[in-house]
Amino acid sequence: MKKNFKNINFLLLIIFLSTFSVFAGVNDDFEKTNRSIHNFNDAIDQNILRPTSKVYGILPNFVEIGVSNVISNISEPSSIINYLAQGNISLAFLSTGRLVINSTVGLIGFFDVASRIGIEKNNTDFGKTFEIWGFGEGQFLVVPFLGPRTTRHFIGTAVDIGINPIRIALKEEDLIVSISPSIIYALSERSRNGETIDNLKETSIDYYSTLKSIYLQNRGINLNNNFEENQNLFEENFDEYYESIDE
Amino acid sequence: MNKNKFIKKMSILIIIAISIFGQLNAKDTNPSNWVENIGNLTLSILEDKKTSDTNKEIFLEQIFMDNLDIKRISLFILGPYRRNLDKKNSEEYFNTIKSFISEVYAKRLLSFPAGKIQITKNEDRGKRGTIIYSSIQFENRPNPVSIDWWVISNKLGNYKVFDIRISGIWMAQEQRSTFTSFLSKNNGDIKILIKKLEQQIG
Repeated sequence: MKKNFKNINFLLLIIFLSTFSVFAGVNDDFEKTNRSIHNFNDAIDQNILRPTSKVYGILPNFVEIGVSNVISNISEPSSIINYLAQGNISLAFLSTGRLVINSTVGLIGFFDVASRIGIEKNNTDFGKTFEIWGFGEGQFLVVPFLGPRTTRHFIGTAVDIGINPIRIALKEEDLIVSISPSIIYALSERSRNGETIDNLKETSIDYYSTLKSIYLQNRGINLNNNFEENQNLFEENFDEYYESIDE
Repeated sequence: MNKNKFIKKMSILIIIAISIFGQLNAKDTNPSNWVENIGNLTLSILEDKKTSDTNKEIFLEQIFMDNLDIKRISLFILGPYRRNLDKKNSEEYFNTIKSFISEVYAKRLLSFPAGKIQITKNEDRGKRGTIIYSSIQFENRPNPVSIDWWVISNKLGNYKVFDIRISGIWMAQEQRSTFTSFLSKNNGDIKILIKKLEQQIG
């Protein structure tokens, strides 16, 4: 019965994904709702994450980096599964190498020994896997607690959480333990980029649009790494227009 | 001469020196060297522990004023709404945006600690200019931050920066998304945008 339920879920997921496979770009049709959720997330950030991350930031730098490395190491099995699903055997092999080296010599990942010997971290997720499988980005969404996502990325995140080895290893009642790496990761990132995030908010005339642009650029680069695609910036006749305007 | 006056005079002198430095280097034959000079100058300001953040911000703003192609950025970030610029509001817009852009870029950079720049690659994009790829190893950061510079040269052969990509994010592109979103909600009215920018820069 449970197995059938899982199969139905998988089928629904494929059907849902296929419904937005035809859209090439990313639309923001739910902007009003997205902005409300963005305000909620911002309030959580300002009232909980920001002050807590300041306390977390008291930790010595090497401890912060070490904890961040452990969390990164935990995500390595998910990367291996994704690279295999993408048919990228060489990166799956490198990720496996990183996992083995950092889990042993690197003391469960506290020290990123693999990077030091030239096996750099590569990031991937199910959002990327779905892209390779041919699914479109879908809509732009803002998800409570998670922040900006496209539909494809959001579903990918759900799958990534589902295949998280800690979550699988732990029982349901240990939910807080299984999500704690994500909480620590959020604190660590907020602590390390605290001033940058505050400046970003302070210098933006529309913080929602700024975050949206940063997210989409970041995803575009991670997914495509394609300069031309991201830099189609000079429209036709721009130069003529530029010359005709007096400063 | 009291202490405040002395600091003020010194600040002005340094700004002039920076300005001259920037202009001289704009004639550099190699865009990579030119970018490296700007990078080193910027990092030396971030590194200076004796200078207050307020003064650092002033110096950084001056570097951006001198070396960014403000006019191109100003028009680019308006997107299709640049057609709404008329003679009446364009002067006001250019003046406001000049302060806004240099202030935004300076403030965002101010959050970075000292570091060392290394030019990693140089990519000629023909008419579109050159992309200079650099990597900066900031103090107390585990990994270097990639900072790429989109450099274009004007008719006089001087180099100007059109856009800067920090950790994968192009800043002018980001400003464009924000500006066009703001304008679309305000009937494309440039006057409202100018007012908002003026509020922002205080």
